[in-house]
Amino acid sequence: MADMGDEHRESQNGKINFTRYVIGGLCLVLFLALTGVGYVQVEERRGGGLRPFISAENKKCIDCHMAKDVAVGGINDWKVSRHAPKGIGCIECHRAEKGDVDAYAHEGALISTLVTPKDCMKCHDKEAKEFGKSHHAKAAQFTGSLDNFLGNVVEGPEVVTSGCAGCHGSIVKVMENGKLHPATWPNSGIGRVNPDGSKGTCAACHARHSFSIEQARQPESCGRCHMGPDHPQIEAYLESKHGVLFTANKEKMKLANPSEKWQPGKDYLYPTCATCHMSATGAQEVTHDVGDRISWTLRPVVSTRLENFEDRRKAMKQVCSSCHSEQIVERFFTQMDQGITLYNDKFGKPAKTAMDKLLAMKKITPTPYDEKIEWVFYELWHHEGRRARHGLSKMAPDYVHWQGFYEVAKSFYIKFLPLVRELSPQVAEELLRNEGHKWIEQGMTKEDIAQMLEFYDKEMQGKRGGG
Amino acid sequence: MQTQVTTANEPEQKNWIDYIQKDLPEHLDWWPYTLGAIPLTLFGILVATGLMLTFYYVPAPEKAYESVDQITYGVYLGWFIRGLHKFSVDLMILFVFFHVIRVFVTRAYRSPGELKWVSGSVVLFVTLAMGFTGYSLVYDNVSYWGMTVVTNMLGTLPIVGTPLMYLLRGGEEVSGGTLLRLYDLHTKLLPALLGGLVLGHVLVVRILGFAEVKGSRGFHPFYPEHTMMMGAVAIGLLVLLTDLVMIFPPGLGPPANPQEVASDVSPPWYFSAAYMWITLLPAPLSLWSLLGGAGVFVLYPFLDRLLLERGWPMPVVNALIGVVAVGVFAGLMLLDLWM
Amino acid sequence: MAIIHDDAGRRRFLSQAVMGFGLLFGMGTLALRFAQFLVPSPKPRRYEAVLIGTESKVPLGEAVPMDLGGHKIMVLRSDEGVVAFSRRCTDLGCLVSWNKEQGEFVCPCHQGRFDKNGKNIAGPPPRPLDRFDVVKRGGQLYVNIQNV
Repeated sequence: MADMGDEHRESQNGKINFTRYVIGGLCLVLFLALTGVGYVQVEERRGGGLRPFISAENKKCIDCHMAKDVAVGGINDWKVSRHAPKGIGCIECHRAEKGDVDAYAHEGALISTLVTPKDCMKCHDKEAKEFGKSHHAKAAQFTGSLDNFLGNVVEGPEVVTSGCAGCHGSIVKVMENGKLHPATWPNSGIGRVNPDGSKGTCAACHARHSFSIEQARQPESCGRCHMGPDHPQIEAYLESKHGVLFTANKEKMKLANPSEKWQPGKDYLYPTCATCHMSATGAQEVTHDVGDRISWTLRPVVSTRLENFEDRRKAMKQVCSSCHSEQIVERFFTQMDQGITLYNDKFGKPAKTAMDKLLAMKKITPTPYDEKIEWVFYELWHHEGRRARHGLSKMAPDYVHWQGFYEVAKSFYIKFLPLVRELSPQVAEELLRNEGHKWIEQGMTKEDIAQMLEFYDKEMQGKRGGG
Repeated sequence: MQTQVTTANEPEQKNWIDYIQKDLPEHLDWWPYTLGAIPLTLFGILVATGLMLTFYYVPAPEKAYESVDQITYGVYLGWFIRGLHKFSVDLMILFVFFHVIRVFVTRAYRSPGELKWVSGSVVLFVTLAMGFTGYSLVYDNVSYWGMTVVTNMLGTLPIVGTPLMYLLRGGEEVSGGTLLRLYDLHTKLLPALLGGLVLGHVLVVRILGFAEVKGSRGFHPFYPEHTMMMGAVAIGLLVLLTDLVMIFPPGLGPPANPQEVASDVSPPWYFSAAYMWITLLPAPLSLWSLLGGAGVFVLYPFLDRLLLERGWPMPVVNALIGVVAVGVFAGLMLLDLWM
Repeated sequence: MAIIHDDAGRRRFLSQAVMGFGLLFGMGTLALRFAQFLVPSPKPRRYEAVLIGTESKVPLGEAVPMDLGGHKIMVLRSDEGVVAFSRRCTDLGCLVSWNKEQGEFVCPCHQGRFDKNGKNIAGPPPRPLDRFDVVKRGGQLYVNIQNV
């Protein structure tokens, strides 16, 4: 060792000590950095992500489309889909057979732009079959209905193309050159009638080209069509406690989980549209027939029970039971059924009977929508009445009352009733035959008045109603 | 810790520990003089990570790119080990350059230390060869065309050119044989050679001693002072490397396509200047000027001594040459980037 | 009696302790990372079901060769169903081909033979051909390929 003075030795020792601290400190920083490495590995790299498996055929499609910058969004979307790692690419879905109406030659391959449930059925046969028998698949069959008259004639055919068909689905027409008619396509309406005879398009909910189950399970996917003044399902849902909880806990919902790992009450706690109407619970499998668990139809003037409604009601109750006790479930459905019955008996049936009688008496013309009373009646059941009923089924109080029955009652009493009375006082009288309308003539009893006055004097400091 | 107690009678017994513990002048604490320790540490890291990479890399042309792809995207922490390896190469060569500049500007090769410089310059060349052979193993476009261009260039040398080219290529064309040979060079021959050369260089520096630096009076022993500092530097480097790898994880260019010369192929940054030099100057001149320059580089201490005797102000000359050389190097690099 | 304050010893101990502790964590984690890289964990043996086509793509009694992500396989359709074999002969790895008349897989290198169940029946091969699971979904066939 070099001969150092004591002072020098001490300062050297001090330096060594300092260096030791530096080494120790740097080592701890290294430890943190290496921990970060582990985190990056697990979160971002995931030890071998699933990468697209591109066959030689599909490589041709992809290379050319990317090079020519045509519809590259779809390709990049596909790359993150679950189809991609399995080698299910362009050709597997877009391939057409000779003789297909919408087949055409494209760069050496016979393809069709349109991918229909018949194509998806090649792998997803269960889902396609269930969907095919559901009400969704029938959505485009409104062409013979009054609604179609309203859109097509009263408004205009372009409205049907971009409006009605946007949700319900168009009837796709193929032109001479095998390409698709612009008045009928592009269209992702859920009941689209395809040239190959199949009905519907899976891409209505599982948007292309990522076909993500996570996206399909979002309420917004359904809410694209199931919304609005005539059936505010998504609005009512979002008002309901279910919707509030969902919105507050979206990150915990694990929407991307496969069905076996997406069980209500266990893997996630707040129902979406899919939960009640489609998804698997512990005891039920996924169904793509969205009507399987619906016992009432809230669509017509007067709501009726559907075929096999006991089984359907049982199925729906089972979903509720995944989270709730039987006490809650029973009572809810009692409330809902009674509310719907109220609508039917007090407003729906009487109004329909009245309109039928007026038509029979030739007091109104057979042409729809040409007289005011027809519009009032239409909105009464089609808009206001439906809002009330959807509010009932979704536990959305505001939609039951202010946006539902309040408006039903208002239209009924101050618009519909006077118009009926104008045309036939006798029909108007029969209209009010239901118990619920007796208050018009009888008013309030003396006891009711006394009670109400007491309320205003005590609670409202003597101010009368509206003050 | 041995303390040599000397008595008047016994002659001092010097053993090898004494040589190791021989005093290091205090200026070695100052950062420009520690630059050499950094490439040494990085070399250790390169050997360790390189060895680990051989557990997954396959040196056959059909499999090479795929195996590198696997390491980068498939193997657990593969990206990290490969990233460490890649960044260590860049940093090692960068710090070797800094070290060379420092030695050059301070003229630490002065007599009797010329061998320090000569041994160091061989280390530099072998390091660059390691960089070249290593990059070729990825077998992406840059690798393939790099292999082709470099071996082509060597082939233009007179007499030794063609046999040398055949030796490196394992035949007339760049093929699977080329890859295998470069793999052998990179993982067996050159690391052993480089390890020995580095050890030799360090020993030569220790034995021949450090050139005098004005103002540096005190001394400190190798252990524990200097070793501890080197330890701290090494760990600091590891932290830096880890952070760099996390922020800039390694990627992979398109696989080698022998049919098409990619227009945007250019070598790694440390070869950029040489590559541009060869591109800009006409054929025989470019290669010969490079070789000539390398020769002057290796023998510079002797040139320095010659010129010093003639009265040239070598410190100033060196400073000037350093500035010009760095400027040209950087300029050519920027040119490559821009082109 | 003089009071001995051995500050130097204490300071040294403290700095050594910090260094030792740090080295343990820092170098330990580094060694752990290196070890994790070298020792692949047994779990992530993920199989990916790769689409190979409809059942009708493979004629009865024939074996269709395919290359799925580097795995060279033969898809054979017999009365018992559809099976996928690896083409790598279990002798030295040459690629076997299907002899329809004999109903056997034949290896050209040393004339090893395998029957339609992949069992080695003649020649040097020591064991049967490797199999890949074939899954059928909705009229389409998939082969489970290891996604390493």
